[in-house]
Amino acid sequence: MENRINKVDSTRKNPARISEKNVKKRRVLDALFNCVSYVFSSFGVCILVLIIGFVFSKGSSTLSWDFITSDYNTTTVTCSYLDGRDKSITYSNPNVEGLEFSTGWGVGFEDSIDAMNEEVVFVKYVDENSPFNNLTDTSTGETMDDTINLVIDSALLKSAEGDVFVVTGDDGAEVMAQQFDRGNSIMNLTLKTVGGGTRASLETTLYMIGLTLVFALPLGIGCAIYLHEYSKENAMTRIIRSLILATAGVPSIIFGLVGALIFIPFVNSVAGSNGGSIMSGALTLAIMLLPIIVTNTEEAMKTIPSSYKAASLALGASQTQTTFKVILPNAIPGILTGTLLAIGRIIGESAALIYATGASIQDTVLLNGSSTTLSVHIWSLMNGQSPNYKAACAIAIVIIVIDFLLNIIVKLIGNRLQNKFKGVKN
Amino acid sequence: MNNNIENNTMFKANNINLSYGDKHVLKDVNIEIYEKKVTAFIGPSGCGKSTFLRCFDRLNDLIPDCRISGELFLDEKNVEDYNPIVLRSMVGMVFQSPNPFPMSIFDNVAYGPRCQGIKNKKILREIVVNSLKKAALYDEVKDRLKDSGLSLSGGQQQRLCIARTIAMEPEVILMDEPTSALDPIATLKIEKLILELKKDYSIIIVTHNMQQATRISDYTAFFMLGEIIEYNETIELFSRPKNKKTEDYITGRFG
Amino acid sequence: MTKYINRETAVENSKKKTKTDKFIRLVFLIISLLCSSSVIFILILIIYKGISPFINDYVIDGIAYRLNVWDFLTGTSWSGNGGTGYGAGFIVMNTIYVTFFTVLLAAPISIITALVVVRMTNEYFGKIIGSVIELLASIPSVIFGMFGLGVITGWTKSIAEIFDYQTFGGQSNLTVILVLTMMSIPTITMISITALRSVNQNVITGSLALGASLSQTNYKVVLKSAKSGIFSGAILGVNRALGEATAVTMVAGNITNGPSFNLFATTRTLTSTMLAEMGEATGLNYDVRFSCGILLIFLIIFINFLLLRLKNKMGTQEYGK
Repeated sequence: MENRINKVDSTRKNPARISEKNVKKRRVLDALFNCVSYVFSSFGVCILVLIIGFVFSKGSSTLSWDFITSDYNTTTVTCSYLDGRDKSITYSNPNVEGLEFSTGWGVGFEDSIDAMNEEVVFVKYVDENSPFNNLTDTSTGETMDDTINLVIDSALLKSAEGDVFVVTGDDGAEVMAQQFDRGNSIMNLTLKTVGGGTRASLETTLYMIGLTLVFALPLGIGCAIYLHEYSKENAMTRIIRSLILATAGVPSIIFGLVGALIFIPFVNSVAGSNGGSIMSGALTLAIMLLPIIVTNTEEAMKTIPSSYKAASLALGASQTQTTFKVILPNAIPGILTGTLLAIGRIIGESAALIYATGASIQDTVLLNGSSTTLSVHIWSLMNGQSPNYKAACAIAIVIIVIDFLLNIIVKLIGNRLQNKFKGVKN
Repeated sequence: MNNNIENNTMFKANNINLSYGDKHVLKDVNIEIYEKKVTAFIGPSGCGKSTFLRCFDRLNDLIPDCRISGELFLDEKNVEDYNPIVLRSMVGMVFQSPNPFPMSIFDNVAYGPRCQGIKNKKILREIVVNSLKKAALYDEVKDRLKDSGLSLSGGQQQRLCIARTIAMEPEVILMDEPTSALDPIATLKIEKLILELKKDYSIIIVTHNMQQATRISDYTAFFMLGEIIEYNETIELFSRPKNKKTEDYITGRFG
Repeated sequence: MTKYINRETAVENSKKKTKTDKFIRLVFLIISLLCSSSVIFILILIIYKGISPFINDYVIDGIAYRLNVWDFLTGTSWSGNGGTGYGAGFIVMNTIYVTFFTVLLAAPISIITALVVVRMTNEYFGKIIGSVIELLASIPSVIFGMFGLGVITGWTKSIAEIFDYQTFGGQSNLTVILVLTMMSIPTITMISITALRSVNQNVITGSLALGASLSQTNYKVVLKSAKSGIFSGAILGVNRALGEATAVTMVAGNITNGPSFNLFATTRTLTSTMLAEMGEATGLNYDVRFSCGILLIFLIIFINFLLLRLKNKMGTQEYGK
């Protein structure tokens, strides 16, 4: 009898039957789970930090205004200065660090590394009175007056006594300056542009974005309008929606294959191109990006209160007028979001364009010619025997910065969209 | 007593039956709406008043799977025979929740006329000013016609919606519980406005508020479960209801 | 009051407007049909070009070649040139192998990351992680491939040395798996976040009210409620891994014989086969990539079908809605 009373007592003191041990154990488990969670979730941060660190460390030194704006291929020019220079005139050294100055000619040379990771000598400074301003281009016979930032490949010089000697870029800037001081006239000077620039790829990317949007926006917006404004909820509408969803799931390389199959011959016959071109690439990308435009436009239209459509029709407007005057203007934030997302995809797309446009880096950009967008440029740099990380990372920096900005803008538009129809009930 | 003989009939409904999905919403509705009078539809929630109202400008066409039988005549012509755009320019509607477009006040009122092809700036301005005056809103907004319609208070927004309906010069104005989302002062202003408007327009108003019906309407129809139980001059219906259900409703026994 | 709206012209105009309405409706209908039919055309065209190696003769150096379907589907070596030696069987196995481990690695990390973003008490931390994930999602695949080639191959080499293995410059199954994992994590995480956010608040409150701790609630209740949404995210991650071409091609090594299941050995997937040496491919070598494309499409459809059935089975045990 007493045992039973004791049992009842103990449960009354601890009605929820929770023991001290259990609570402690759960606290420890809790802390453990939290730890594990934080660790796992920081993997994402680690990956991003690693990638950005790698890209910026390898690429930031190469990234420069010249890198963005110059040609990829080098152009060579030979010139000469056959009259002897006036030996009595010497030029003052501007004393810039790294500059090897030739006092006789008034020219400064600098050692540097080009985009292909090779050591070259640049012409970095030309005194305004220097005879270097009057070099003659041997092929055209005209005066070459701008030699700054060109690379010296080799120079054949003649001294006052009549000695002829050669100095090349491998000798370095210091030797170059000394040898020039020895020389009295320039028999033959080979200069070349530094190359490795991405101007053409930048242009190609912009053209690609523009052309793709020209094709994708009307089709995508039109489809969204039909689905939201005109279609009834029947089997055909469901099929259309499923097909568009299915389009979003097809890998990009498949789009590339089919784009190469149909659009390249099509554009060839229509626009006189030969093989892949920006146009065929843009057509391929347009089809690939339709789901993004359709989904975002429809989402925006869904936020428009349905009483707007009723009110517009009640005022005697036709369906077409209602669509273009009331629905479409209010769907613009969503259309913008879709456009920005599409632009991000276009800049980053590689596999589809390798097939549908081609992967050879060019310097002339034509709509019916093949050239590379920024991402395909990276692929091309990485594809050969010796991948050029410096240049590729520099381009990657540009892409990542643009992506970051696009992300922010999309977020801002998203916030505006939420608050636009506050106060108007559906 | 009863001046029915002097009234012209605006709308005549014969045996209207309406269903969507498997819900039979309107059952054998017959009614005559008279010209330049305010007719009120009252009744408990979900009894089909708003649905019936929407038949007058064929807004029920927007609802999928909506089946209507019977005839509704506007000026001797079946509503189905009108081109819906023409019908809706003759029959305007004001909605329960004010819904001005996200455009300027001027553009809101000018929307309807612009859709009809009126482009002349002078004419549009005259239409806008006159409509706003008739809607008793002009004095409050005359300095800010370019401001967004959404920047007005609830009551002002509703008067803006009335103004843009008036801009179409309709013959009938339908109102679906126009004051249910507004405060008492704004409600009174709109009721005053309706009494002014009935000089030029025939008005059909759906309302939950019986006192409102007594204040502003000339004729009242009492709906229940999709049928019209009673339809008479407002004074008669509220003081001497002929049907027991009507009496129960207006004395508050249910609803 | 002067009348500005002319009834007669309104009636005239309305006829024109109704005609315009009908016409515009037709235009929009045609546009949507065009948009939606593109995926059907893609399927038809890939099949059309992809069966060509099996029904047409390709003349190389005077000899006519035609591929055999059985050899193609079960073959274990891919020469990449000439008229024979196009066996894709091992490639399919490698593709599945790599994808399987990718999802195995990426799914737990993504789900827990999503939990942290949505449910952790420290909101600031969660927001940062969320933004990081969004930024990662927008990085193009070439950059991941470049990172893989430049950095991850180095890691693989070091790990291989510990086990006394030789690697082909670090290009291997392991590298491919790691690169694909990094690319799939943002996808799965973002969808899991949406799924977790839509869990019924009452269920969470109910669990806490019963005395469960925060992490018990998170793991036992919240995850279970969001099961189907998270699974959809995982399916999307699988699709991303199956369809990724550029990054994989850069780090796979493209082995010629297989299947290769050794983590440190070079490997080959369907997508890397389609993309490798694209510039010089002509004739049979070019067309057979379309055949690989057919295999890829059917693989994706098949795997999605299986996974969706699995998801529906899971869905019937859901609660909390």
